[in-house]
Amino acid sequence: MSGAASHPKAGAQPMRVANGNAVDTSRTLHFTFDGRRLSGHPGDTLASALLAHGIHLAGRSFKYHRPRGILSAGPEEPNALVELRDGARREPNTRATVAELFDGLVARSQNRWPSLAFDALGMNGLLSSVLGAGFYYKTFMWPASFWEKVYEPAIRRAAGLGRAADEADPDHYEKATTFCDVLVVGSGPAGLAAALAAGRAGARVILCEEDSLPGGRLRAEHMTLDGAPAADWVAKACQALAAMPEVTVMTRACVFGTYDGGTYGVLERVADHKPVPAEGEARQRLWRIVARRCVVATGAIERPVVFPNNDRPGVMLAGAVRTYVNRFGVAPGRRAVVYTCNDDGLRTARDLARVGVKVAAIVDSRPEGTGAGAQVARDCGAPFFAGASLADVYGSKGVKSVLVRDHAGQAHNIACDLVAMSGGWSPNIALTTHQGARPDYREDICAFVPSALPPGMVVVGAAAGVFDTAEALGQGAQAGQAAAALCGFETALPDLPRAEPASYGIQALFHALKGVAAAKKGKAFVDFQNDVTARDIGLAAHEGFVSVEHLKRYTTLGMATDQGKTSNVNALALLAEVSERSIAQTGTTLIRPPTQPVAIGALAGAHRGPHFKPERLPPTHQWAMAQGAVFTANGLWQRAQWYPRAGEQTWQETVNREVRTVREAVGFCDVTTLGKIDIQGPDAAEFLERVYVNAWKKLPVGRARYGLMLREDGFAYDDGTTARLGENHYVMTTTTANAGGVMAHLEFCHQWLWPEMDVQFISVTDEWAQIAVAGPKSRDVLRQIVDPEYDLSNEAFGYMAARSVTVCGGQEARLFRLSFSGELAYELAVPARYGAALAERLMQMGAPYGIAPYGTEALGVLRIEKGHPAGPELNGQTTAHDLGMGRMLSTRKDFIGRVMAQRPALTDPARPTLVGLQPLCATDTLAAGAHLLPQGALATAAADQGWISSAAWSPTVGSWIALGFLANGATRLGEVVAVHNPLAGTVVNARVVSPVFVDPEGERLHG
Amino acid sequence: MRLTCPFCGSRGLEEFTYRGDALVRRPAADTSLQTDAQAWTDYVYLRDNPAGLHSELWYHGVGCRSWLVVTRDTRTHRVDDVRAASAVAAERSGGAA
Amino acid sequence: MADKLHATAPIGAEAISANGLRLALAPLAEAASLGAFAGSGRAELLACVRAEFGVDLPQTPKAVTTADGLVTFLWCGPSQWLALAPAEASGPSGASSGGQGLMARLRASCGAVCALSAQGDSRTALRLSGPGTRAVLSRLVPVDLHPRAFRAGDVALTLAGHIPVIVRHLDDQPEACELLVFRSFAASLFHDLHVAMTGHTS
Repeated sequence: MSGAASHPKAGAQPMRVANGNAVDTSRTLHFTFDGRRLSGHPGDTLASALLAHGIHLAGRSFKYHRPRGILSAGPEEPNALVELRDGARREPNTRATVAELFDGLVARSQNRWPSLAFDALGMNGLLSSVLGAGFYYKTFMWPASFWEKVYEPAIRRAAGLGRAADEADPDHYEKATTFCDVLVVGSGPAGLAAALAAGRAGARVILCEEDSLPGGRLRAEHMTLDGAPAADWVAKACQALAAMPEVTVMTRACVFGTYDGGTYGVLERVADHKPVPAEGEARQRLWRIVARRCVVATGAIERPVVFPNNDRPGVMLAGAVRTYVNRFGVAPGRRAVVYTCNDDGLRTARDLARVGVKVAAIVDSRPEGTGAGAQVARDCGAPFFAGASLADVYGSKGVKSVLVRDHAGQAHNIACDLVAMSGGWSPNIALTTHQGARPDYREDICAFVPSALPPGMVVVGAAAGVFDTAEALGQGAQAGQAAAALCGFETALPDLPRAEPASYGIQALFHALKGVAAAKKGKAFVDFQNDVTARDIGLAAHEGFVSVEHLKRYTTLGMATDQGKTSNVNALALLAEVSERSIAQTGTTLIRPPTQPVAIGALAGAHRGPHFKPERLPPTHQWAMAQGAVFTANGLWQRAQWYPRAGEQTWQETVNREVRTVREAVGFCDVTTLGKIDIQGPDAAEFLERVYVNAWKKLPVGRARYGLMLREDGFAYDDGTTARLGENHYVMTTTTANAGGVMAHLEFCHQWLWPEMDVQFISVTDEWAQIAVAGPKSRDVLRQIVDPEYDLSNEAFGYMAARSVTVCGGQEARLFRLSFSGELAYELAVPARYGAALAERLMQMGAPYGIAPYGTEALGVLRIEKGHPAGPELNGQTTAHDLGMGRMLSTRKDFIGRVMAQRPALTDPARPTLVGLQPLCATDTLAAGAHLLPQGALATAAADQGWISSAAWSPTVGSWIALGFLANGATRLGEVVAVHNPLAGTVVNARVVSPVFVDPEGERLHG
Repeated sequence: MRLTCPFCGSRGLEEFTYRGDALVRRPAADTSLQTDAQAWTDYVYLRDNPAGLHSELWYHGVGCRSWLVVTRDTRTHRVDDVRAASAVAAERSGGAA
Repeated sequence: MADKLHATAPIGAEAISANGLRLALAPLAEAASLGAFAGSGRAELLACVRAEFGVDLPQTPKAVTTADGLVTFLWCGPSQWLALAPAEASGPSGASSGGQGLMARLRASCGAVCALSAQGDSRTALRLSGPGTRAVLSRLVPVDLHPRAFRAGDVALTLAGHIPVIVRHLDDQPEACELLVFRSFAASLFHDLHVAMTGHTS
């Protein structure tokens, strides 16, 4: 049980001064920050709860380790990044302003050592002359050896942010796709109105709100709608939306990216606000939302003002101060100075005064007589400075006083513990620019607004530069109505509440410095997260980095978790000033997704660990498991690699035994994974003629033939056997690896090259369990399996015969006399559901003949012994000529690759061609990848004459053997070459031999 | 990116694979290196890479297995047209689909 | 002669129920692909199927079931269909005998105008049913499954996660969908659906 008893030291909340509209003060939650026990209430964020205790100091800055406080009340927060939770769930760089409080939350400040209050690296501030703009590039250039040993560890310790968890993430993440007519992003006045309008029309609407509660600024401001608190109307609007069956309101759901085709990326923080997710609940869910129309109502982000020491804890955004007061009932200070360039900022003074905070001064950058400052100051009983600025802030871990420079240049030191600053509002336009649009600068509101929009998108409310609530409501409703209408859902506009008018009256204020580059005394921060100062921007411009994109890379401005949400516009304004251009001329950097950090776990979803990719299991998989087989991945397929027996010490011993079993008795192997394509149609034979290099029309029904396919560039693509089952019916086999590719290739040839051909393809790879039965006793075993009416004698069913048979008393099957091993061999195919039973039956009936299953390893040895090319030989760089199949190329027909295969370079006898290799010393090892050189030659590229593609220990030959490609190979049989293996550091002498090591006459095959 | 398969409807990119330029034409079966090496080189190797509208071949491999001719703006990924490759090919050769 | 071979189910797992949903194998007695030959073949195939089975082959991604409930035809691509004969609809003898009927009927009725290929072991049918079926599927299947877009009888050839599937919406009362997947992928798909149903990763 949690509660006061178990948290005896949980402190009171001295700064909780009012009832916030989103906080339930009837319940208390306990949490720790840097080990200190604190309390808060449901509805609090970590930031609001800290501020309720008067705690501003939340972390240290990235580069200079300066004490930093809470700047904002939302996801734009650059400073208050903390580590949440412990152990495997420890999560770094979490913004305290969006971390919802829960009972038992453990939070820690980051980037401080040994403690937040005393940080040994705070002296980085004293080194600031070397840590300025581009310091990475300037300071650590040389000596190179210092980088790894000295600079990098030092930087990693000094800079960087929080610590990732050391253990695997125990939580579950989900991905999902959904579709809607109208996606509304943001649930402030404009977003709610849009959702209401589109929803009542009957459109499928999804409203995404990043916050835990809908309402946006309606919760943050002291304002009324229809004469009642705005939060009441929010609740009513949400009730109305909940009653609409086709409207979905998703909270804690951040739309982080706009993608092509009306696709939006959304991160839903399903259980981030809980200590641990509920049983079966995802921690986070990554949505892909495909929307026909999108209404962006993402509001605006307030800008800080750049002035010396503007990063002191206690210097906050004015709108954020109001959020803490109105939403959370927390006063972020006792004596406040409000610094603004617009009337909106002045609301802060009123809200603070209302909850009893002393307003020590209102500093308005606008000249006397502009804006409502004088009136507000009178109402709040505060000194008023028009045409004034803040020249400095004093206090290190908190604000003690500020230096106000009045319109006449006179300095006034004013004691305070809170500075609420407003440089005006920047529309939150990120989603409108993800596809490359550059926003337009509007002088009248000192802000960038969307220009060209992605197809289907409209922008409303503050995101469109409309800061008046009534106007935003109306614009939102119209946009929602129009979006629904474009999807075929028409209706009247919803009733909208009356809103109080509010003035804005902004006059540009980006910095309070005498000049950008002149700021010498006290750091004036532009980007708090990356510790970029006004001086850095001046320096970068001075050094020639006057393009915004260059400025960003050079100073690191706008990077990291906040992506410059509070800093980019100020930085542009400063750059514009030093480079003597307008802001519009200076332009913005391109904004790319995501707008908020997205955890890798969310992107991976359920596809992690062994389920990173699916597995394909052949029909005998369970059976092979029961046999104790060892498996290997062959693409997605899981295949039995070998079947160890009791007493076998090494895998080599097992494989040798399996090979000998095939050579001397009989073995069987599941070869279902080979691609099988059923080809039918009047033009089937002609089609095969065009995709294979060799001839097919004369292949009789009931026979199979080896076929080689080229790519159109003349290189070998794939091979396999194709059997003619009927006049217009063939079944093609492909390599396992290319099964999908060959299918696509055949479809391409048919649909695009030769649409007039009448032929149909369908994959039957999974339909048939195909089992190779190989060895001198294979016929004897099959005699026990295949029903007696089928004559399996060599005369009746010779090499390359193919036919339908029945097995085991009437079960339909296909039998092919094919051999990959060079032995008398068959492939027997039964419907896949009978595959496992067939394996069992083969074991049973083959027992008297010494049958054993063999895996892919033995399969590989057998085919190398027989000189059959496989994947390592058909590697995309070899030609039919290289493979010794040059004479297969028909000259009487057109086929894919025909023309380009004739290029002289592809048939040059000097090209490396397929050979066999055998070491002179039987105990020497050969390895695939080794290079072939003339004996005694230096191991240089110039002397290189080829390579080994496949190698294995051959129990049949009694030594290592290999297949390889050797220049002029066909003419060099008997020659000795050096096999150079730079990985193993060995050079072995090997004799060039025929690639067919076993039964070169083919007697066994045909026996 | 999404493509509207003429048979299956609007689908995400993960269902498709890209092949490339749909304007290259396989030279006639009776041409050879001797008669028209350049045509074969063009067909196999040379591709336009326009910044703007491009006619491309895509394969709806995990859908209906149709090859498609997609007209796409390579700068914006705006898709103006998607047609079955077999229909385009049949028109090209003057036959019926 | 030896005994007949016994059939093995494509996945070892039993049907599972979680959160009001049920996931189970829906065994196929038999299935066959139909690929219409060119020219007049398409029209002839339509006519042959209509004559033998009493239904029109769908021309869009949909499924139609014969009046006796024994055979369902799914659109599978231009000029391509899949005919399914579920084991449970094939009478008491189930997989062992019901299967033989479909291919034989197809061969006799339309073997001359289309490519016929046995697919009963190629495809495994998994049936997901219960309230929230669409929500669970949306975690794997990237097509619009909303009742306005995907109704009973609608078919989508698409992906479930990384696995190619044919999704068929069976019914809304109760919600039920069938996923046809290549047999070799069935165990992986079963696992992925299980995770989507329960939220358990392992």
